[in-house]
Amino acid sequence: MSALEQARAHYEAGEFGKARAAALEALAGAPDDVELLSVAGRAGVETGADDAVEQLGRVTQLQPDSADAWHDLGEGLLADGRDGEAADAFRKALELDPDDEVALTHLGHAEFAAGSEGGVAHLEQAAERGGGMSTAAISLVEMYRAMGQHEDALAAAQKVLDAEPSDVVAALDVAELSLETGRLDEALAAFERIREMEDLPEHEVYALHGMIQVELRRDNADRARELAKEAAQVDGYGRTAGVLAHFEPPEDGEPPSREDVDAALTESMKEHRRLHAEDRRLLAEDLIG
Amino acid sequence: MTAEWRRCPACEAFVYHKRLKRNLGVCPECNHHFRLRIRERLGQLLDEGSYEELSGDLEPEDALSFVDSKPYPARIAAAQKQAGAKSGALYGTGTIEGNPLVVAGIDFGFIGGSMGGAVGESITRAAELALERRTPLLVIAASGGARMQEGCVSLMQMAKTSQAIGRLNEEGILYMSLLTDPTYGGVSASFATLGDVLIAEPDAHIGFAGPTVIEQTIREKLPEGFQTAGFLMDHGMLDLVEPRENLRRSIRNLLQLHALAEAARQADDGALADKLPGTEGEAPVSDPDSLAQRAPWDVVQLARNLERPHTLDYVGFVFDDFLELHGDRAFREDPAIVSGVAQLGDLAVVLIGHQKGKTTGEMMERNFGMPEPDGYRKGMRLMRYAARFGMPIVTLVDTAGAYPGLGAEERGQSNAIAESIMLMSRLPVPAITIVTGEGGSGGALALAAADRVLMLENSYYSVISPEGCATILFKDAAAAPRAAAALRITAPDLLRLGVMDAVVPEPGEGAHTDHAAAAANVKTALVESLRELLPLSGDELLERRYERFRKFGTPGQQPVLPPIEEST
Repeated sequence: MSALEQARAHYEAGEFGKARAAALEALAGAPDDVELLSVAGRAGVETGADDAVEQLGRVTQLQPDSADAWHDLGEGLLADGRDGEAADAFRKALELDPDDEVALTHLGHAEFAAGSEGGVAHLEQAAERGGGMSTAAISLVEMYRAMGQHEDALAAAQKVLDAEPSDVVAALDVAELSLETGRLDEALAAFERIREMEDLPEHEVYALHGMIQVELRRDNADRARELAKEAAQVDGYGRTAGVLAHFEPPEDGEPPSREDVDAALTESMKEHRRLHAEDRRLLAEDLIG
Repeated sequence: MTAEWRRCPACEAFVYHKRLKRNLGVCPECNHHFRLRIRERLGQLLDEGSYEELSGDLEPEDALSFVDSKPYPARIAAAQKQAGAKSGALYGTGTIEGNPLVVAGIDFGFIGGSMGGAVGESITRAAELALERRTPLLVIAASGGARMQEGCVSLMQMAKTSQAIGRLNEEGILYMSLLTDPTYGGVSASFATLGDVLIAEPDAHIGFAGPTVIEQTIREKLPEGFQTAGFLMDHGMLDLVEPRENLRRSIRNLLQLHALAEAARQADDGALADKLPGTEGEAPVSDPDSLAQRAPWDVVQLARNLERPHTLDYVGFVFDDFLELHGDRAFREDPAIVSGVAQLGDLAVVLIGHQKGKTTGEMMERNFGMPEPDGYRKGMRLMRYAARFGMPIVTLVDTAGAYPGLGAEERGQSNAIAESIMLMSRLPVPAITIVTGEGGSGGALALAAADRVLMLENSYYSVISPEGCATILFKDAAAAPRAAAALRITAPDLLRLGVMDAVVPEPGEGAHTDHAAAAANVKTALVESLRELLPLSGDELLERRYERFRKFGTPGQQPVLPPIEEST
């Protein structure tokens, strides 16, 4: 096995330190070997080597017409937090290979971070190509929400949910955004669906809290009270106590106001989202949170 | 998904996942610490390739045949598939910079890190292995609490794990608990908060009951930052809050300091003195007539000099390493007292001292070195720590007195001082006290019931401040200089009275003129004292210490000073 093959084998096996060591050793005798430089640089990005970007940059000098070389350099720069330079590298990669969906996704994020409106456009293109559960599609929902474009966010969330019907975060997006945009029937249906999807009883409470919010918005206090009672029955942690007290005031004190209840339900929804966002990331890789 | 971007839940920035991973899972924009899977955590903490897993056969059992909306076994299967692990916890062995340890951890991604039988079994087996090998234990906690689907079997894990930790405690095996976000309920109320050292990451949420439940129970809005690591630190519940980038280093430091302690415990008493460092300072003085005679009131002014070195100044000069440990585990972190484990030559010692502060802000934060009960309780916690691990204790005393405040009285200032005196007087390890500035009454003695009690040449030690004595007995606050003389609070008189064993010389016009030289003399005094004490057994130390304090006021044993005119 040649040194290059050995380095590549380590890289493919996720043994980045060994891959880099093998590539660097071979580079001593062939300092401008593009393939070795590429493996050394890409492995260096994984291990946090200071000179990884330098090696990947050298590859682009030696092979300026390689889309992969510019793509790899872009990822190295992103890993260093040099988003502006990374965006330039991805633009070059896309000039050479307009079908590079990942480069498009990276470019969109880098531009969005820099406050450029072009970022969203690039992510829309990437989402078109990558489908509903792509990184671009998921990020688009959050970006539209951050920009206050709730209609666009709802449409994007619906696409994600259509692509992955078991994704609770996408279902939550649809439910919350339906509520936000005044589509109360859709919101209720979405929360009911989440209730069916939820695996753990303690999570069912969150869906019921969403349904209570919808009924309160409809001024249907009786139904909201019924739901609050239902939630209290499965709520092992007493999170519904305050909501129920709003409808059935305690003898020894003031009941929580409608504002208090709205705030508690909103907080409950945030908590629910946070827990599932962690699950989604957990499925994607080791980092969660 | 091929191109991963994460949205930070704190600052909402999108972060490229390789950048995040390179930054140990900490948001580079706002320092938010993302939650980690347990294996990722071990990868960050342990030496590469050192982890050997021993928990492979453990998985949850359905002891109750529990069914809610679906049978518990179905939930277990789903969790196993999602988490890619058989159980929500693991344990094994590994090293950190070559220092061996047993490690166990909970994966929050497995049914919310809840503790059922398998989780408790992992923690317990890890503790038992640590005991068998006399190797330090690190447990990494992240949990919502007990696992309801296992009913009282889950509840009993709190007792099972706690008693296993109790055995480590009895045998003096270091147990470090790393509390990560979130740690709640039955886990926080058992093994997770029983560590000899409790470490948490910034902003980790730690508590018994969740904030929503508390708010609904007390019908009050909870304060900002409630149950965060910082909140717990302020309330004395944690030793350290460490950013992720520092965790490995802090744990390594602890392991190294405890390796020194363990080596000392295994060594012959006669060989312990060989572990002491060389010294270059002036030797302590035990002949009162060879000391410079200064007016007592002048000594009081020198002892109070704001430029005088304080405990943390001496730490930098005297010790090779120091890891400050915080908290009384009861109410509050009191910065008027600092404490921790320090390295002196090849010995690990526990250091406890008053800390006054330098700037106005720091002096106020540290309450001018006047501790509340929480400070003394922190000190006592560290005294017990020293006894548990066989570490000598060094205390540096510099306080005008214990703080005379409302809260201090409410929380039992008298009792805290009394218990500290009693505890220190009965510790089976060498204890050395040096009064470095003011030795104000019971507030000083709480840290001074030692085998050897020394004072710096220009410090004082007194039952009451000269001003207080002047007001009460002389009915004239301006008579403080006269009171200072009458109380016999300076080094020569205290040597003659037997209150002091020796006096540490000060350079030039006082310690404030040359911190390094003063510290060198302090180091020499400590080393010489330890050289005498280290060969003694615990029983011998206790007997001699008893006799040391027994003689005061005993007819025929108490030296009597001549009238002042003759003395000075």
